[in-house]
Amino acid sequence: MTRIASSLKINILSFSLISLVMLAVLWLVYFATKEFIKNAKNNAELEKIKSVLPAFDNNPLDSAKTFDELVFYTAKKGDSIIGFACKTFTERGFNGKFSLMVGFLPNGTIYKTIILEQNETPGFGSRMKSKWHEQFNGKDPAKYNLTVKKDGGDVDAISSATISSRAYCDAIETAYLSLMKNILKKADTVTTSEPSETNNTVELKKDSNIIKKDSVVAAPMPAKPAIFQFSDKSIFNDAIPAFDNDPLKDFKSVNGLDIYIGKKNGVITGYAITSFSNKGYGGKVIILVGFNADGSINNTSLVQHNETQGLGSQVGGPDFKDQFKGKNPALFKLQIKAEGGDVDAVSGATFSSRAFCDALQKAYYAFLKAKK
Amino acid sequence: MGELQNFSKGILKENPVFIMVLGICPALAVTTSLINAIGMGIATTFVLIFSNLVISVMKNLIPDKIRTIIFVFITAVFVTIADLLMKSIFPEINKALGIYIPLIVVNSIILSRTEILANKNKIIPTFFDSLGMGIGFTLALMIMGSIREILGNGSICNYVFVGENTRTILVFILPPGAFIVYAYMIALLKKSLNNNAQ
Repeated sequence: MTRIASSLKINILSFSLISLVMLAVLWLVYFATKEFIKNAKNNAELEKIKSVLPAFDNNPLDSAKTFDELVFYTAKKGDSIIGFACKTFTERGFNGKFSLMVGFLPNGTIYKTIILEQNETPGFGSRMKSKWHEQFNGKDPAKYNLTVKKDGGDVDAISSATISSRAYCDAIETAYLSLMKNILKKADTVTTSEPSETNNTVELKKDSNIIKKDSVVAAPMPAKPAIFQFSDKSIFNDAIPAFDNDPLKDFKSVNGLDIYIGKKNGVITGYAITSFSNKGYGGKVIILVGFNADGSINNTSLVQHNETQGLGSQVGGPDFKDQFKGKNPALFKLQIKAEGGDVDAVSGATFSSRAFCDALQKAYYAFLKAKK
Repeated sequence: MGELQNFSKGILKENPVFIMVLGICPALAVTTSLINAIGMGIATTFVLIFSNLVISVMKNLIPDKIRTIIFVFITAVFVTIADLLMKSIFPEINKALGIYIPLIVVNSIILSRTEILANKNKIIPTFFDSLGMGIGFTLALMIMGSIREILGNGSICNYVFVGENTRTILVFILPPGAFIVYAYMIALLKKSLNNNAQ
């Protein structure tokens, strides 16, 4: 038998025929494996739920509920709820999105956490998989500050993987807030409306009352930096003209911004304000602005951002930020030139420049208020 | 005799990864652990054997001018099948390999084998040749995978044998480590084959 000759008709016929045969095979395999794939997926999900919660005997997959893009599973033993598993995620990983499963006890305490999917750097960020995450077990986020120690929280970051550690905390925090908002409120009303409770549900009710108390206690915080916690006063050397006090202690909060006051011999020499904008290209941009006592800008610096390296991150560079030096926002319009203001935007980073101006503007308003 | 030679040449003498330097994208990218390497090797072997067999059977029905497009089509169908099977049987490995499973479609070993082997040979020699090449590829990946996992992660088959705080040689898990291991393997194999020939 020899190979058939090529001609347009034969080519079309041959290709169609072979495609049809192969697609039929593919179709058969697809239907044969469909159920298996679904089961495998469910089993994997169930395994993860089991590993973050105490033993349960219902099928939590049936109780899946989605709030704010997070999926919650309720685990029960008999009739009493023994915990919630939450599939949560964060966009703040070093390599973008990663997701975790967090198990909560009915009172909101973290039982265990586990990584579902991650793309962090092998050997650095991926060390989240090791025993590191056990530090969260048994912690109640109402009392436990879910930020890394470097930022003033209670969490030991993985060394050389601060961003991954921060993102992990962020994902847990998201899950916790959503749980409090959407589920535990409900759990509370259910238990109070049913007088015939078993011991466990009574416990649950008690526990949720405790949470309420806790959150009330935790809510009115004393004046404490809300945006960013600095550990060392040397950060203010560039921001405030010569000072001899400790601005970290001379602190107040205005319009939700953190204001540090620098004094020399008791006379105010300047204000340093931590301000932020959510208008950045990568979300939140946090800056530190130093004002002289007369209201002109002394210096600015980028504290934390998520902007594109090499483009948006240039707003932290001298070319951009030096244009603000000595300018008084009363005379200098804090808007980019394309929008009628006085600020030269970084080319290729209009968003970041805009966000920087936005944060500066907020800081100026807070400054005016603080000066009164 | 002929079949045995067809089979064995892919393992050492014409090893696709170390001698022919084909299909090195998956060889470098997925060999961060032994399990991944085995999974990738088996999936590729499966696609290699079945697409070559089907092409070998159908070769007289495939007009010469459009052969490549049909080869790629048939390969793509088997890659999808391999993906579906892996998802149902080994979902964990499938997740770990991610995009590299669909990318088997453009694996150069498969493209070259369909062209120079299945396109011209009968079904029996095609089968043994593909099997040999597949095993050669799998072995090469396993060697690289175990070296990188042992040195870089201090574990083998996900069984960790070093203490919790031991510093492993991280570079072997990272992309540069793949190139280092790969270069040493090629050099070693070349040297030992040359010694044998003399």
